[in-house]
Amino acid sequence: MRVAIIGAGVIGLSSALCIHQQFHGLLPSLELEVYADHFTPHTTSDGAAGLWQPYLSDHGNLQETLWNKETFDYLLGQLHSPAAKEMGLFLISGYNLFTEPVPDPSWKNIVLGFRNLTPKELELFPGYSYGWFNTALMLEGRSYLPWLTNRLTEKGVKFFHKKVESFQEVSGDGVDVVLNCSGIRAGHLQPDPELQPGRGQIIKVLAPWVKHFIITHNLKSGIYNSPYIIPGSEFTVLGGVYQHGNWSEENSAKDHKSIWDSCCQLLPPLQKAKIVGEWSGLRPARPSVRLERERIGLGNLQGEVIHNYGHGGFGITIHWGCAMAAARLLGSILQEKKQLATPPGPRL
Amino acid sequence: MTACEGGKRTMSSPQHSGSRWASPGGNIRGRNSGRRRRARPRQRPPGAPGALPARRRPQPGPGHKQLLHPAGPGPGSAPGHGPAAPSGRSPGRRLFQAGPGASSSPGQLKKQGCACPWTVGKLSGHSENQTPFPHLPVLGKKVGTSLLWLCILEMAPPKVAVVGAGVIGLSTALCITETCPSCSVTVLSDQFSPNTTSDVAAGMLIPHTYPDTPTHRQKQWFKETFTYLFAISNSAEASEAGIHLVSGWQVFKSPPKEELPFWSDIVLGFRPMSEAELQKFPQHRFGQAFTTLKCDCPPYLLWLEKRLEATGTQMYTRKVADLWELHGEYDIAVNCAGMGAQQLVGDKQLIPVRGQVLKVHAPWVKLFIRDGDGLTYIYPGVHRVTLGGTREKGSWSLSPDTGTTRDIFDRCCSLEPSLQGAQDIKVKVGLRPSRQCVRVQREVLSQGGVKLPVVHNYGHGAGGFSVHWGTAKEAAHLVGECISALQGSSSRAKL
Repeated sequence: MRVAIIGAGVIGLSSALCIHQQFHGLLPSLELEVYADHFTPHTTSDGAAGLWQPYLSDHGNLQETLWNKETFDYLLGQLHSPAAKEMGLFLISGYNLFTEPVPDPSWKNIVLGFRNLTPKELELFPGYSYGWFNTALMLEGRSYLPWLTNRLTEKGVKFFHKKVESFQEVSGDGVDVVLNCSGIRAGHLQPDPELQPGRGQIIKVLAPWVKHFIITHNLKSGIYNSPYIIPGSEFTVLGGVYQHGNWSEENSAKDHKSIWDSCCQLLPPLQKAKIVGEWSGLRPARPSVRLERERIGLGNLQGEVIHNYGHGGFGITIHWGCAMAAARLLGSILQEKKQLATPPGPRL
Repeated sequence: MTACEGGKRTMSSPQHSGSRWASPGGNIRGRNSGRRRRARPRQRPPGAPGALPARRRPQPGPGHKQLLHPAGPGPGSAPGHGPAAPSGRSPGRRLFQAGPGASSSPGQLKKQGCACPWTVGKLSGHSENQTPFPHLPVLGKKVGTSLLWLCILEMAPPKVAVVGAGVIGLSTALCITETCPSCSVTVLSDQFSPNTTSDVAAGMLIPHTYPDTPTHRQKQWFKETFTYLFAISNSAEASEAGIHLVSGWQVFKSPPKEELPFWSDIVLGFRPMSEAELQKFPQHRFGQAFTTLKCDCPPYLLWLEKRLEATGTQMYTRKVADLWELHGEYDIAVNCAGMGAQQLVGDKQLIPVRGQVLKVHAPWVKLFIRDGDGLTYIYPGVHRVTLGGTREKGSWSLSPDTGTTRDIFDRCCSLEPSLQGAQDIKVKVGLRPSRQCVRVQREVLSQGGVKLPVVHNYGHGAGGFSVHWGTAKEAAHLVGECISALQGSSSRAKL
């Protein structure tokens, strides 16, 4: 039984690991293969700051809220493990700022210590009159992806560096299931007009005195189109660009200036921060995550594709919940094929 | 007399604090040795390449008589120290301000600057053979003498020596320059950053409770310090000053003595920890979450030094063994000697409380964690995380203890397991200058008919950073009182 995973970002690699964890014991013949045109550090996930935080509203999509929660709880459980440092996983507190009162988010009880900001705290942020404080998690792609890769390699998962043009290309020859974790380029494999780029640009600076994340919100301009500052373990990410439909992965001088000026205004000490890099990436935005099975023709045979893409700007936030859901879908497939007597146990 | 109120001594949980650096080799007095300082154009003698930075120049020796007028190198000034005034003041520092028209008529002498025109101590050492004010017209002796005193009364800015260059000495010196701009302030210390007690401390603003200082006074000091640092933390100077906000948790195995410490409304967002947060600490049952400030050293001390230099304050490496050494050179002595005050003023109430800490590289640690017993703590700074600690009362040892290092590391790892991956562990030791109450107090020392006004500001123990600005302001205020007293007594005595 071979499963081919297309995509080596956080979604592809974590899905592979989750599947291996779930089924390897039950199905020793299971072979996993990862195909991708980009590997760490060149994936979209590598550019993300890595802060666990969903969007402000789930728009009633409770399934996604559940996957977010599963991810947070899973990561929290990993926090004290010896692997945490290597995973790039750590706790972080910080601020979400608004110019007017807003309803509490769907994730208020998932994060730790969620509360409103006090007047004295708001003094730090002139121009913002309302906000939240909470403790969440950072999962830095530049560490997490290599860690996932190492775990997978240890388990004998094979990696293939190629740009896959079709599902058929990786299937056949005993590959019955393809996991489509191709992120922003899923449209190449199967057109999906709902999938659009949400272009982002970030500036990386050295500002080690910044210990909190600060995310501002402009309800008119939309998510992540307002300055944010996210301190990582090595450098701090300044951002605040979300351009729907823009496919450019080139850094824009105009966006640079806008990010720099707005972040320095938000946090004046940043004026002294040294810029060490810049990056643009395309969030694979979709009205909702596509996580579903699809039967397709793979040559002479019928095969299955499990789609797992469209995680927008919350891929890291939701990844493990989706990985487990994808694994469940695989379980159903295996059951149907009589490969498994019963689905794997309590983890599902 | 002390400023303490009598009271039963309680075992409070002292915060770790400023203590003296010791290198891993256990060297007690790490002298600055050849470390380069930023160029200080105002204070470097021109044409003296390779000269030591101002504060490491040995000061002209004690007993050297200072002239009021910088007429050139006076007697006893050491050669090679440039054309600066014999007292070592930088050119341009207001020393002696004659009002406009001074040279024409003493009657037109005006009071200069802000109100501190005084020097009496100086006069007592003044040689009668010298003409102190050569630029003034020569007058008939009797009239001239009276007007001379008037001139001195109204013209000479007081010279204040601050002993100690840790966080207390430097902040006190800075406050004095702010409350008394026409004062001439000099900082004297045998150690400067990075070799002070303060350099070892994490610099967290979490107050220590002094058993014999009234709570309202401690709270006032903390509030003033917090407010002052809060403003800097949000300015462009924050990174240079090493001041930043940090959030975290204080956790308790058994119920804390006070549910709401006196400082809970001064730090930000103080609240009890949630159950979910407490799950991270299986051995602890209660906790408090809040956001506070941290002053990283050396950056903070270096930033204070820079601000002092901008006011023209001189700083010298000099061990003051006795406050009386300062008499004659200075009008007022300010004792910020920390643990050194034990020897300097013979304060037996001041005892060292030894603290050993580890400073490690663990940049993923963004939150502080402190055990309410004050012994175990994790404080993330700009570049390093401080892990602590110990509270060894009465120990004078500045040598790191390897068993203690292991113990501290283990205790911190049990609070934050990811610290197992910490790198580049450096061990430091400091002696908290501990007292039942901080001594912020005026005194006039008297010896053989001669007086020396002194302001004390020491004994901050585990809470130096938390209250430093508040006590500095109070000490500066007391310096102002000394000046007024000098002014008052001189006018009565002389006129």
